Amino acid sequence: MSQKFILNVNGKAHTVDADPDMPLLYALRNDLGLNNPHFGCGVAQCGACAVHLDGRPINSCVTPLSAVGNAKITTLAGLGTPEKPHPLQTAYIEEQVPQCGYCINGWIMTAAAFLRDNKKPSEAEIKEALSGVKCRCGTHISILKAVKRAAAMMG
Amino acid sequence: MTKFENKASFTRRSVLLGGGALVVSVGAAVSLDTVLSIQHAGAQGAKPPLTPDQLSSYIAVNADGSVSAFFGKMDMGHGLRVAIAQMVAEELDVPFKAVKVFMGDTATSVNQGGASGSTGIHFGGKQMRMAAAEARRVLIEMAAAKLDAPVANMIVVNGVVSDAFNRDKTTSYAELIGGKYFNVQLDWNKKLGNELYAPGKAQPKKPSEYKIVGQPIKREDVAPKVFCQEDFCTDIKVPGMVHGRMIRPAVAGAVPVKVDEASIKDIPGAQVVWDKGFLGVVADKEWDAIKAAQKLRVEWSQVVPPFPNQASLYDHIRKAPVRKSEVEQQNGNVEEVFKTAARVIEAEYEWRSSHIPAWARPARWSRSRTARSLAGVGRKNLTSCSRGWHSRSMSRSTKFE
Repeated sequence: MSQKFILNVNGKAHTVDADPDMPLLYALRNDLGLNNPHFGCGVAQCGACAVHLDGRPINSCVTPLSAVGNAKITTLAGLGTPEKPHPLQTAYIEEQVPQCGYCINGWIMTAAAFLRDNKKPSEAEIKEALSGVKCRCGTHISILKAVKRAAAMMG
Repeated sequence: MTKFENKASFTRRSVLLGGGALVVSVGAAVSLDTVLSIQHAGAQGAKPPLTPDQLSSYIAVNADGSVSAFFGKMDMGHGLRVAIAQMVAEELDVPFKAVKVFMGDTATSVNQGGASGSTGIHFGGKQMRMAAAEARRVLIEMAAAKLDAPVANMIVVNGVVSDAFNRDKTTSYAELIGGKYFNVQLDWNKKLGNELYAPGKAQPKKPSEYKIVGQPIKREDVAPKVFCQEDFCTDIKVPGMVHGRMIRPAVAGAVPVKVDEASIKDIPGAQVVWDKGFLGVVADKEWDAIKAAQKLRVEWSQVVPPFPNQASLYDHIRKAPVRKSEVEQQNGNVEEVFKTAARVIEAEYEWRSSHIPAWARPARWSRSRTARSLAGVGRKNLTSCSRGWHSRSMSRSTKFE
């Protein structure tokens, strides 16, 4: 049975009428038209669907609406804009990271939460923090460079 | 066909900035009369057909002197848009930023094949280079005719053509053909896709002469991806769109025998799509389609999976008949070299991949080519193997005997 949910996304409140079991991903993509989180695997194994719930990265493909509550949801579009980019977005462009770019959302959202709490991470710590995210194009070396660059910018 | 032609003409016309559909016919020799007759050609309003044997199918010079390159492949993030623009700019002697690459649209480009294996430059770039080189040759002939000077005297800098010995004599690509179509026949090999090749009379530049090719130029598609400003295919929504999910059997080769449509009747708008072995569901909402795919009760046929026993897979491969054996290239005599080799290392390789299982024995280590020919598979397949996930994991267990 569908019910009303009020989602606080990127600082704006949206009302969604949906099944409580429906993962947040579908509300964001289909009901709110926010295409930045992507469907990758659907089973929390790749991170392409990552968004922040109160600043913590979660896999929105397996997070039911009923579990979201009043949490503040941040998507990649809410992280930064061309006018006011997040350091990771700047670093991604500088390092020309992606090939296809489908997984960008997962890496940047996961790394953003990590860098916020870890100002001077070692390479091993970065790798560990991002171990749950997948890139099938194989751009991992560039991703690592970009995260290091962003860490230096945020330092 | 007529409809397609019209669409192509219309699209191309809108791409050529305010150009109208003028045609410049260029034969072996270009006279000033030919150039001056452009206006008459223009009055015809015709455009050469979008066929691989027409220069206009690859290159157009716009009224402002910028260049449109029509690439019949697709950039999927490999940076082809940059690379093709570099190649076209290089051959034409125009700035990199003057070239805009249009691709992935059958209404504006010919079929240069799919995008796979990171072969866009290898297979598709060659043709764009030859087309751009031919466009430059033709433009130089036109310039020489217009400036009344020998072709050999013409130099081009940023799309401006001058007489090297009389710099007052100058014209530009924009003046010569801007906003009009080339009408130049190319020597098409009558093949489409990766094999398509249609050179003109021009020789492309030597790599040692390159100024633009080889420069590190950043891609313009990275920022829009990072800021979520462009759609991926999966992001596109169209009016009236429904969502579908395929339903697959647990055992390969099984087909649906009985489908209980009543099992999803409580999901709004959910419908079964069943055509022989194909089974799926559609619904207005994506989540409803997913739920329907999970809930639909299906009875599948009982089949034995059509795969060799995985435990004895390599025996199966060893015993399998060789359907095709081909040596793609033969350099020297491998057997003779082995006879006089200081040391021969023999090894047996077994690996499986997402494309083909391959086995090579005895793979005497001269070069990987030996293994390829002995395995009786082509280079292409084996290259794919070496890049597959399974081959990576299996290669760790490769042992040298």
